[in-house]
Amino acid sequence: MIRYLIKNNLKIMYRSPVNILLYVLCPIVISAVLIGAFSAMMESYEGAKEFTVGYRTEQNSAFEQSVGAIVEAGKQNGITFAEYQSGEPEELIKEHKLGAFVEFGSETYTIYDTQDTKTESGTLQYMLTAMVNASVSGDYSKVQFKTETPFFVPAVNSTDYYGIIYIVYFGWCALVCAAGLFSNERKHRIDERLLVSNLSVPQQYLARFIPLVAVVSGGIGIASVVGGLIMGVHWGNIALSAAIVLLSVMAATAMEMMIYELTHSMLASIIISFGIVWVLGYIGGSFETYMFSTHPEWLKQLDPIYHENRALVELSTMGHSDYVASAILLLSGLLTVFSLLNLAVGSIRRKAQ
Amino acid sequence: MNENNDIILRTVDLTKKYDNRAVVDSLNIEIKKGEIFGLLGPNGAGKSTTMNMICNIVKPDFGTIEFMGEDFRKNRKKLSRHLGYIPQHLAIHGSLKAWENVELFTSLYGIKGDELAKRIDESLAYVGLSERRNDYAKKFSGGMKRRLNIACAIGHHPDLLIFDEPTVGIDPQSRNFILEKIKESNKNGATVIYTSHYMEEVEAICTRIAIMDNGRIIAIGTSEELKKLVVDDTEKITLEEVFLTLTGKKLRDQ
Ligand SMILES: Nc1ncnc2c1ncn2[C@@H]1O[C@H](COP(=O)(O)OP(=O)(O)OP(=O)(O)O)[C@@H](O)[C@H]1O
Ligand SMILES: [Mg+2]
Repeated sequence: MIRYLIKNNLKIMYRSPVNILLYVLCPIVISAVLIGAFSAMMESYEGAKEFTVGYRTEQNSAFEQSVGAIVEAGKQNGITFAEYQSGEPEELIKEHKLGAFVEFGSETYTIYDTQDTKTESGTLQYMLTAMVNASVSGDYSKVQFKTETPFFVPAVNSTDYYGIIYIVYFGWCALVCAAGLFSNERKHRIDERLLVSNLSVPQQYLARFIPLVAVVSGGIGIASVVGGLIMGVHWGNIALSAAIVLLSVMAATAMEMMIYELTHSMLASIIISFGIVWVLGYIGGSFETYMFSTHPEWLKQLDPIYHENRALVELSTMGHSDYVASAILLLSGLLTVFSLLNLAVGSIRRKAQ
Repeated sequence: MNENNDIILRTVDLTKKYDNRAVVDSLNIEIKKGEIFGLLGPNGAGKSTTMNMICNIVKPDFGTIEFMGEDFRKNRKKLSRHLGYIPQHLAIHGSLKAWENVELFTSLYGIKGDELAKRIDESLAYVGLSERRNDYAKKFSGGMKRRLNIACAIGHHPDLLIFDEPTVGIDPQSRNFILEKIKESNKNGATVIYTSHYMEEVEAICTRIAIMDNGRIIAIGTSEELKKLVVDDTEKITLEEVFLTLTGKKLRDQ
């Protein structure tokens, strides 16, 4: 009957003013500061959405054979090609709201753009370069525009980005919420009473895990609602995003409780946990955005925070994300592994006491 | 397993070593149903370690513990609810109210709902804290914390109550109150093991006393019997003098 134990552990945690401060105020304040600091920088990348490019091919152009492949590659990367046999490129751009216009000449191609469509023309330039490189080998199937490149990232403004990323980051620092409870249990040797009552290892784990997850997700839940209202953060798919964040809080809680179970020192556990979370956040886009970071792709792919950040940001901007599945998979994996390790370490400790 | 139904707890060759030193050394004690058993001993004698082994907090290196006729270590699940343990330290949550502390620890024994609410009221009334049930434990005085410490261990109506120095650092009124309560529990049917340094306390409430030193029981009996070990005329000696004679006057725990 651990219901009452969970209830009282919950009371102990939410009665700590430090927790309220940390979980409700900090994410709002930090994301507000970062949103302000990065808004100018991130705006310059706005507008790189799907767009249409006008084109025209001269007779006997060296590109004649490739145009079909270029149009096809464009389609797959959100660029629609529309052919215009006549008309001034600059005027066509204005008239048809094109992102750019390209003329395939006999040996060269020319890209036209306007002041407002620099991002789109840059994107087109990038794509055509890739196509021309591919044409040397004659294998266009290898032309893949990775969404990691800045041009193809759906536009996200700093409000949404940092508004989301800091909720995630604080969710990963779950252990702080338990500091009071766990230290008190040790200091006053309350765990001895639990042993006398013969509380099992899984019961003891759940009696700490459940309230900790509840307090942390409750705290950042309030922070996201309040922060969302004040700053206007968009989450896209709220239910799915909430589920991913909850899962990451559970994974982080399991991981950090395991570290505490090993060290039995709150200070050491917090230092180790926050070190790990800082590194994961550093690689995963918690400080500089993952779109523009220089970390190698394979390293990012190993980082659960990267998958989570990316899934949530893309849900916000596009409404869907290929990273939802991998984020859920990775986080559930961590939750399972660390929960089992907790139980294993707990049982070994019991046997050796 | 146990041929004698009068024995509620028996240790057989119970041993615990720390750093190769036997802190509890092949201890054999039998606690009879219905008695208040006093365990006396200087600091570091091994009293708490013995209690901790009985209570599942410390694992013995050797020996068995029979509780209610069964091997306690093999039947914890079934037998734990018959044992109540009041630790030497204050094992309570300061940021929980008095009643919440009692709720938390009483619920560990599977008591819930209305029955739990009843037991909380009863336990708090028992230690005289009904009026203060809604106060946070951290605001309590030392004596009140001691009483709450007791209330947290009795709600499940254990058959054997183990008190490890429950009267440390409190005023004579509170001490008296606690001693009276221990006698009351005993009258209501609970067997009690009581450890203390205070000879008068032990002499006043215990029906049988064991003196422990260096992990071993060096004398056991009623206070009269213990005094007789030292002098013939028991009027002329206090239990404290018996204790000092048997355990020596050298300082312990050094
Ligand atoms: N976890 C431990 N590791 C090493 N030594 C220990 C440990 N626990 C107890 N001891 C040692 O075992 C001895 C007995 O300790 P114990 O607490 O059982 O004594 P005690 O009779 O309860 O003393 P006191 O009257 O001071 O409470 C002491 O010398 C103590 O230092
Ligand atoms: Mg002791």
